[in-house]
Amino acid sequence: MNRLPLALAIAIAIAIAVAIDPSSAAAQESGTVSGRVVGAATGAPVPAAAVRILGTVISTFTDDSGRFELRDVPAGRRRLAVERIGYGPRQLEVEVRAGAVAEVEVTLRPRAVALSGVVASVTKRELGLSNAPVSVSVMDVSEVMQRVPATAADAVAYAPSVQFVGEQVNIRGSSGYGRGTGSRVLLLVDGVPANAGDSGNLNWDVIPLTEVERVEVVKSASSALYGTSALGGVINVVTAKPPAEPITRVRLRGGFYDDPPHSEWIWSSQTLGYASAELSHGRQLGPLTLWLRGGRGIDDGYQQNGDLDRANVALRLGLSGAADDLVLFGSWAQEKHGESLLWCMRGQCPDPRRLEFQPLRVPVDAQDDRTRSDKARSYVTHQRRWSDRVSTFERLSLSWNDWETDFGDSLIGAETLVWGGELKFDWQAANWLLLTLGSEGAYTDVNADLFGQHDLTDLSLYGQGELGVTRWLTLTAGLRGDVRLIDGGSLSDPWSSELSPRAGLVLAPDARTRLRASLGKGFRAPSAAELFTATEVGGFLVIPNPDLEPERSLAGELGIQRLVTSWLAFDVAGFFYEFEDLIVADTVVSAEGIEIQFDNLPEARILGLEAIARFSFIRDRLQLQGSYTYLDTEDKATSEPLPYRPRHLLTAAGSLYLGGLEIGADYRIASAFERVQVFTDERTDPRVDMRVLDARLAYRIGRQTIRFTVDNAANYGYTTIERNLEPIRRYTVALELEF
Amino acid sequence: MRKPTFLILAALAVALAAACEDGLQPVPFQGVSGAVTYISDPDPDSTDWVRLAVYRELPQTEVDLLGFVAFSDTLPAEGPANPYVIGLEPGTYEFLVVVWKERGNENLLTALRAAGWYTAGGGAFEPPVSYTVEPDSETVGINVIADFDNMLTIGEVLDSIQ
Repeated sequence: MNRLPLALAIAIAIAIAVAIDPSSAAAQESGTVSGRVVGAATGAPVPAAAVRILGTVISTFTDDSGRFELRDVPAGRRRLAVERIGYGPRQLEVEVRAGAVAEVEVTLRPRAVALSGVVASVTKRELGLSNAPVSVSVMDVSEVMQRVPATAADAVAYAPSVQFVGEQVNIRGSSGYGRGTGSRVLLLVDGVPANAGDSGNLNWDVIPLTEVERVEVVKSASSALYGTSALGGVINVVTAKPPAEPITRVRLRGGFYDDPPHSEWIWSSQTLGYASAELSHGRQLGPLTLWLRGGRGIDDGYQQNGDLDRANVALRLGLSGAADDLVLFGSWAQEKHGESLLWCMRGQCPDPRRLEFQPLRVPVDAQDDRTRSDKARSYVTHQRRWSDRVSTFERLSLSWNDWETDFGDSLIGAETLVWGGELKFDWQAANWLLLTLGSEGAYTDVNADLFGQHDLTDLSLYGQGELGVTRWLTLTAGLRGDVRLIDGGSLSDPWSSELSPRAGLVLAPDARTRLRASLGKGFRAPSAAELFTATEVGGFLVIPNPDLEPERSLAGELGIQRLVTSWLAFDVAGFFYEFEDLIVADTVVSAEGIEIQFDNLPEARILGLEAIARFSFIRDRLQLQGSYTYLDTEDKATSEPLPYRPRHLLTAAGSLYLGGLEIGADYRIASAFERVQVFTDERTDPRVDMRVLDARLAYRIGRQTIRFTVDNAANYGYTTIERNLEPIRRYTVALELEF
Repeated sequence: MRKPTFLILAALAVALAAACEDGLQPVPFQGVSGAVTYISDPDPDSTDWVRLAVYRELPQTEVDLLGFVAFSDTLPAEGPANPYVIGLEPGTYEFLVVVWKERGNENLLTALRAAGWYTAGGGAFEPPVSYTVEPDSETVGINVIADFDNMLTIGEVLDSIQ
C-alpha cells in the first residue's frame, strides 16, 4: 500500500531534477562532429569503434575506413568518448558550432589489456563494457575468426565460464542439459531474438560468420530486459555495418579428422573431411547499404551418421538518413544431417572387439536416421533520433522453422512461425539519467507431429533507468512484466504473468578499478516442446506435462575489475542463482526404454566464483588469458549436485604476434559431471574430465589471411552428455580473402 | 621478460601434459552373450515383448522370479535365431530364462511365461545349468532354445526347476 506514494515521490523528484538540469534545455542549435579514428602506432583506421557524445543518445560506430559522423549535436563544448576492444578508451572535448562541422582525428592506443570496449546487450543500448553492472565477455572479430569456427558456437565455447553440454550452451552452469527442449540462454543477432520457436534451442547456423563484428556473452539473468529464455544469460552476435567502399569477402575452410584416440574405435577406412565456402559482398549505393551473403558447408562427420550438409543465403539492406536508420534483413538456411542420438552399445551393432561401447558407431537400427531443417528469418528495424536526448527503436520480425527427422519407423517434425515486435524509447532525461521504456510481443504458432498444434502469445512491458549519481557511481534499475497466453488461455492462469526486477551498480573509485554488484530475478516459460511433447522415438519415450510451471531465479553477483599495470588486468566475481521450479527432464531407464517427462524441481541453487586474468607482454606481442570458474550446485530436495554441471571450469589462451604471423593455443578443462540423469553406471558409461587443447597458426598479408588449426590436438576422448563422443582431433585450413 | 617467458613455457608444458592424459578408454564388455533359437514363434497378436532374464540363484518362489538381476533388450518376435547380449557383474549365474509377456495384461504374475532356459542338453525346459562371468570378459555361447508353443506359467516354472 505504501508503494504508490513512494513511486510518486520518485517520479516527482526525477521531474524536478530534470527540470532544473541546465543541460536539458530544449531546442538548442546544433552542428556536426565527424572524423576518423586511427591506431596510435600505425595510423591505420580503426573500424567498429564506438563513438558517443556523452550525456546524449547520440552515438555511432566507425566504418571500415575508421570514419564516423555524428549529426545534430547540440552546440557548445561536448565530450566525445571513443572505445573499442583491444584499445585504451579515449575521451576528448569538442567545440561544436551551430551549423558547422567539427572535424576531429582520434588516436587510440592499442592495449591488449584495458578497461574498454562496448556492449549492447546489457542495457539494450551501447554501453561501455567497464560500466556494465554484470559480467560480460566480449569477443571481437579477430578472436572469433582465429578459432576457424564452423559456426559462431565454436567461438562462444571459448568464453570464460561457458561450456557446451551437447548442443546446449551453459553459462556459469545455469542451463545443464535439457535434451534439446528449451534453452536458458537467449540468442540475439543484432538484438533480434533467434531462438527456435518450438524448442527454444539456439539456431547457430543462421548467424553470418563473415560479417560478425563481435560476440557478447552476458553472464547473468537478464529477464528484466529480455523476459523468458534469458534466465541464464544472453549471447548477442553483433554484425558489422556495410562499409563505405565495396567489399567482397571469401572464406574457404576445409580439413579432415584424424583417427580416433584408440584403434578399437575406428569405424571407417576412409579419410573423413569437411569443407565450406562463404561469400559476402557489402557496398553502399547512395543512401542504401547492403550485405549479400551465401554459404555452403559439408561435413562427413567424425562419427557414423555424423554427416552434415548446410547452406544459407542472406540479404541485409540499410537506409540511413539524417536521424533515421532503417534495416531490412532476410535469410534462409537449410541443414541436412544424420542423427546419432546415442552411440552403439555391445549388441547394438557388429563389434568383433566385444567392447561395452563403440563411441563412433550408432546402433544398426539408427543408421538411416536423418534430419532436415529449413529456417527463414526476416526483420525490419527502424531507429530514429528525435533529438540529442530522445531516440526510438521499432522492430518487426518473422521467423519460420520447419524440421523433420526420419527415424526409420517414425517420421517426426514441426513447423513453427514466430511473429515478433518491439518498441523502445530512450530518453536522456538529464546528463545523469537515461530512461529506457519498451514493449515486446511475440506470437508463436507451432504445428508438430510430437504435440499437435499450439499457439503462444507473449506480451511485455519493460523500463530501465541508468543513473550516473556521481562520476564514480552509476546505478541501474529495471523492471519487466511478461504475460504468456497458451492456446489463447486466460490471464487468470496462475503462472501466465511474471514480474522481473533487476538492480545494479558500478563503482569507479579510480580510473583503473570497477566494482560492480547486481541482483535480479529471471524466469523462463516452458517451451511448447517441454509442455506438450508426446512421442516414442529412438528408444526415448517422452510423456507430456501441460501443468509445467515456469522456472524462476533470483541471481546476484559481486565483482571487481582492475587494471593492475599496463600488462595485467583481472576480473573476479562471486555469483549465485537461487532457482525455483527449475524445469528438468525426469528420466527413468526401464525395461521399456528411457522415459522422459519434464517436471519442476522445487528448489535448487548455484554458488560460484569466476576469476579472469589477462596479461600482455613484449608490447602486446604476447597475450595471455586465463580463467577459472568454481560451481557449487545443489538440488535442495536431495542435496545432490545438479546434473550436467562441472564443479571446475578452466580456460587458458595464448597468442604470439610476430609481424603478420600469429601463433596461439587454447586449453579448456571442465571437471567430469558429478551427476548425469540417464546412464549412471560408471562402468558402461564412464565420466571423464573435458581436457581440450587446440593449436592455431595464422599468417596475414595485407587483408588476406591463411589459418591452420589443430583442434583437440591431444586427441582426447570425452563426453558431455552420455553416449555422445565429442569431436576428435581434426586439422583445418582456412583462407580469408577480402577484395 | 625472462620470468614471464619461463612461466608461460612452464604453464604450456603443464597444459600439454594434462591434455595428453588419457580420456575415455575402450572398455571390454563384461557379461554374457549367445543366441536364442525359436523352435516355434510367438503369437504376434498376443505378444507384448520377449526378453531374457538373468538370476543369480535358482528362484524358489514367485517373489524370487520377479527378483531378476538383469534383463536383455527386447528380442524380435520372429526366429529362427536371435543374438543377445546382457551386461553383468562378475560372478556365477544359475538361471537364464526367455520371458514372454502377454499384451494388455499388466498383472506380472499372470502375464509372464517362460519359453525356455539355458540348459546343458539344449532342450527348452531341461534342468537349468549355471555359467560364470569373469571380470572384463564376455562369456559367449550361452545359447537357449525357446518354444513359444509350450510356454510355462510361473507356477510351472517353479515346479520344473526344483
